Amino acid sequence: MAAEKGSPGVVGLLVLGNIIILMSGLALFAETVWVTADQYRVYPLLGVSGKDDVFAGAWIAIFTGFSFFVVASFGIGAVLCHSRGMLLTYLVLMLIIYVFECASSITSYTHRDYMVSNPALITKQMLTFYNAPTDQGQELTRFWDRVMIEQQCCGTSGPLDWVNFTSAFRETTSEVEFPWPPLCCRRDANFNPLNEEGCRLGHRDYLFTKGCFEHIGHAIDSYTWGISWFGFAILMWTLPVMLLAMYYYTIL
Amino acid sequence: MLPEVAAVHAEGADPNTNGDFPLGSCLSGSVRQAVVQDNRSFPINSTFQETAGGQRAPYKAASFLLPQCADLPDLNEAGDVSKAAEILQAYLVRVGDDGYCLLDPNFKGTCNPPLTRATAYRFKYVLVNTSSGFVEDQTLWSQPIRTNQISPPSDIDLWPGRRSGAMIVITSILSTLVFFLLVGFAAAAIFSFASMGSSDLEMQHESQISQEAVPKAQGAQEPSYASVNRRQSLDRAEVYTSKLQD
Repeated sequence: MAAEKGSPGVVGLLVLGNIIILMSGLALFAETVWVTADQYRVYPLLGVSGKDDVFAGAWIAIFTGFSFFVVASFGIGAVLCHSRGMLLTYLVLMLIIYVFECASSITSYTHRDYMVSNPALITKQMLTFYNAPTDQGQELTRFWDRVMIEQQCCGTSGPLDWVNFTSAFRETTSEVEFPWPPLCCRRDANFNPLNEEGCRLGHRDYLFTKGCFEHIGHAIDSYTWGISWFGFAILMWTLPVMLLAMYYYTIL
Repeated sequence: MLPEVAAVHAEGADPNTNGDFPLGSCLSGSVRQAVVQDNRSFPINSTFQETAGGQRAPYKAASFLLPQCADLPDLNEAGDVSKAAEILQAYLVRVGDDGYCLLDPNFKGTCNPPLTRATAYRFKYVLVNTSSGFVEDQTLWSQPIRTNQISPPSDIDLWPGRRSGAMIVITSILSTLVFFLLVGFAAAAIFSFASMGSSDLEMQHESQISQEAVPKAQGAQEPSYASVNRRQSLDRAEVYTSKLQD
């Protein structure tokens, strides 16, 4: 009977494969916790337009990452015990996690495409919500104020976003008064505008001429890279391990 | 004292009527006549409201004292924060700078309200002698400068365009992998059930043999062996006899 229960090579490969899965599952878990912690604080941007499924993908990946860790550990036990029942449980659980992890990967990347494949969506919601007196407006105003100061940028593609389109901001501030939000002005160490008139005129020494889209795109892209591509890599590795486990199950 | 006047003439307030013809007609209407009437003409003194924002005739947008040209600051130094205010003061005439004069019924003086969108405007400077009230000199009309067409944010097209290659790769490959896994799992399950069925048969066979053996084991060990041996020998004898018969 002992000789029939698979060659030690198959068992060794399965154990090794599962060790790698459990370690990368733990890494995925940690990584997606980092994503949901939202270090770049771009969640309002996605939340307002309802495209926050990049974060939904991250939440799913937290679950699947930890499950990979637990189930792969269980799988090592199943392989070493030569137990058919345990191995079948392992396979079924792993299959469920696999499907969820696929969903996380695909969801996250699809919604990343909606957000940052071009600046249109972010521009539109910036114009619609910046300075709007609603809750969403306040949230997005805070977001943009912070990003424009921290990243020294103005608007999505540049200050002209505020000039070429009407906006909630334009309704409260006429173009003569200020063509773009005052936070687009370059400021000195005491946070006073260097020269307010120069900023209103759009002189490049007194106004941030860079758009914020690059920063936002970078933030969302790095989240998506973590969730989608890392998840994808884990799934690519898990596939042969599971196929091997299925083979082992049939010869057990 | 010679104040200088910036005059503004709006043309083609309807965005569709741009082109050479209206511009040419305005030229003959304002500038050429002014040139023909030697330089003793009166400056443009109509206001924004009187000319319907420059649609009917040029209007006076701003007036200021003749700047001292001897020690003008260098415009290239506008990036220097300490000099910026002075430089802007010296160089800047902003047309459309006053957002409130139209709203104020008591406003007296030159109203310089914001320009209309999607309209071509031309500008000129006129030098006026304040004591006589005549035009001393003037520039030509500038080239038409068109203000932007402004559109509401709802006009922005949100279609994300082509899907990114990465999204297609991830989606298609992962779907395929899940398919492979399900097929593999189904195959493994069917195969193992099939082999489990055959091993069940083997198990039954073995148990029948053991059941036969059990009642014999209940008796003494030696006689049972003896009987088995005897039976074997009997069988062999039968075989031998049948061979002999052949």
